[in-house]
Amino acid sequence: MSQVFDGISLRDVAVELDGNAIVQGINLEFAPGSFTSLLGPSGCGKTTLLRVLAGLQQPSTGTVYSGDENITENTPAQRDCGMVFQTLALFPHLNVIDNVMFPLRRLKLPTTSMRERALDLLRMMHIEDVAVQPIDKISGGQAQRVAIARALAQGPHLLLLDEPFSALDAELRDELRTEIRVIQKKLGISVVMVTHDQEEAFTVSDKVVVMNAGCIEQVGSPSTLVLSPETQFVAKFVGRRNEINCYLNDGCLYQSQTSKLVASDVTPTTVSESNKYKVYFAPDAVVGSGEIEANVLFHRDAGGFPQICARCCGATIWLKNLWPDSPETIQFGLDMTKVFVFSDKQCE
Amino acid sequence: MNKQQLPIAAPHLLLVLYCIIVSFAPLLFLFTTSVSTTDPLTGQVISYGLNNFQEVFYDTYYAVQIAYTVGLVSAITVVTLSMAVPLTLAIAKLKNVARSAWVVMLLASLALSEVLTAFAWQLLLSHSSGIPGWLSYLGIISGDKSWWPSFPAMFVVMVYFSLPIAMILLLPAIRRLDPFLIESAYTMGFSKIAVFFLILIPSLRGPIFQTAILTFLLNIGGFVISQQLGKPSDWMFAVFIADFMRTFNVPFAVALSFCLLIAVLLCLAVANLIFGRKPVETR
Repeated sequence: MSQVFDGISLRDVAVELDGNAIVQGINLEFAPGSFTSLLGPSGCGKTTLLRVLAGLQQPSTGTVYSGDENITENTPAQRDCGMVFQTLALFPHLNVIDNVMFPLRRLKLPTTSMRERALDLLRMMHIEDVAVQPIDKISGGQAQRVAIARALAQGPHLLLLDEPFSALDAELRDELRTEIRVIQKKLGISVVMVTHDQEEAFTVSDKVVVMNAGCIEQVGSPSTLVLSPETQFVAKFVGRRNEINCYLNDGCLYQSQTSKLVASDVTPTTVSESNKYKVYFAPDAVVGSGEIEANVLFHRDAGGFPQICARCCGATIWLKNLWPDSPETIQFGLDMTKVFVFSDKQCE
Repeated sequence: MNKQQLPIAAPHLLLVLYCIIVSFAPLLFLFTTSVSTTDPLTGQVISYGLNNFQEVFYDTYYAVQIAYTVGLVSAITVVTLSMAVPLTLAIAKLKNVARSAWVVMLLASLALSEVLTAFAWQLLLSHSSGIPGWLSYLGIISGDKSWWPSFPAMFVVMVYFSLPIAMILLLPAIRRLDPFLIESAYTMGFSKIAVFFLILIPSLRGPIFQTAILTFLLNIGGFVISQQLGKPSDWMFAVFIADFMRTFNVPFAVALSFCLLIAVLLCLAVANLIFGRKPVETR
């Protein structure tokens, strides 16, 4: 185990399980002191990648480096990382402090110093008052904090979090992710967090890795992903954008079903040989003047941001409400600075 | 009790009724029998008294036999569980089809009665048609003796008989165990052996204890395997009880049963005192 952590990197990593490719062609770098989120839908291979980092899953091909050292064959014990599992995996037969002290047992430290270290961590996580409570007697938020404290007990350089806040209510989730970011900054460790929650990924991460079907779609800062999506998947997944099927004619985009003009002077991000494009736009990209037609389904307040749910060429879309008189049918256009056009991947 | 309270109380009343019919009434009847003295010819009760119990404790013979039986069954329980826990862990890790096949095999072996199991093992351990004969034929061992009746034969077969039951009892608990418990210990740098003893066994403490109790209770009253595969000196206490039943000395047999019951209850109480409480780490 090296004393200086030079970051960890994955090079051409692929994992196959029972003949199925779970992840493939993964090249990633996790810098020292960075907070990275692996974001993607369920089953896209995020957790498998985290397990590769932890040493719990051997890659079928590719290598894992810690700095310049190849650690692909290293056991989890040799990886210098702490991990918080989705189920937390707190040992049910031990109380809170014993759970936190458990990783220290291997280091064969005197009991008093182990106890001191555990109490320090519990204090840092603000749960020293439940130190002697049995695990089944503490709340979900406290259990989460115990799991984080336990993962930090050995002083790892890399902390791996597998959807750690998915079972918590919104308020507690927000509180804990702020806290984990504060701790990460304070300890200067690297954190890799798996999540399918965009808000979670964007609020705490320096870098977000968007994954889909075992591959990396895009890596970047939260703002890069929002403002410059590079793939159709990222354009739709990040920001939960609306999607309209279109075709291109003389630099103008027309709706596939109605041939209504969607936008003019368009340069698509990717060119479609079959002339089938997808237009992605957020609810606030809508403008009042335009030819696109939609039938209003219902209105919602959305916490001070009134929106309309409408049906447009068979797709359900969400728009900023620019029609206070609640018409049944609306016509709208799009602010092209907030619109992303991609060739339809499924048709290529 | 009014009409509204009746549906709530009904299950409790049924439970009390069940206990009276299935436990207390037969126990009372047996106790009455144990303190009676019958005419050996007519079988009619002549008098009531503690004669049978006095006879049991006339010397240490029966006490030693009870101690031997409790010790033997405890050893069988320990050996059974020592094998059942790792084997069940291995089965629990298998894929559904393979695991189901194992469960079917375990259940199939449970379908055999104690008598059939004992008989099958007699054949297997006999020199004429079993393992000793084959090994002798291959020149691996010499001699022409069967391996039964003997203490090892009796012990092995009792473990064989208990093992599938213990595994079937442990399997649901082991399957419910969070697999990430083991992985999280690996990330903390613990070896497989350390994880087994420091995480798995303590986490499965409750189910292991319950299985141990059931295995113990299942074997304490067993006499077929003991009688069929053990020598008279190896026989368990239930064989004596059965013998007195066969010779129509029912009151004395019941008195012996009561003594065994009390010994078993004492053992269970002690085991519960030692293993039944939640462990408290004292660091």
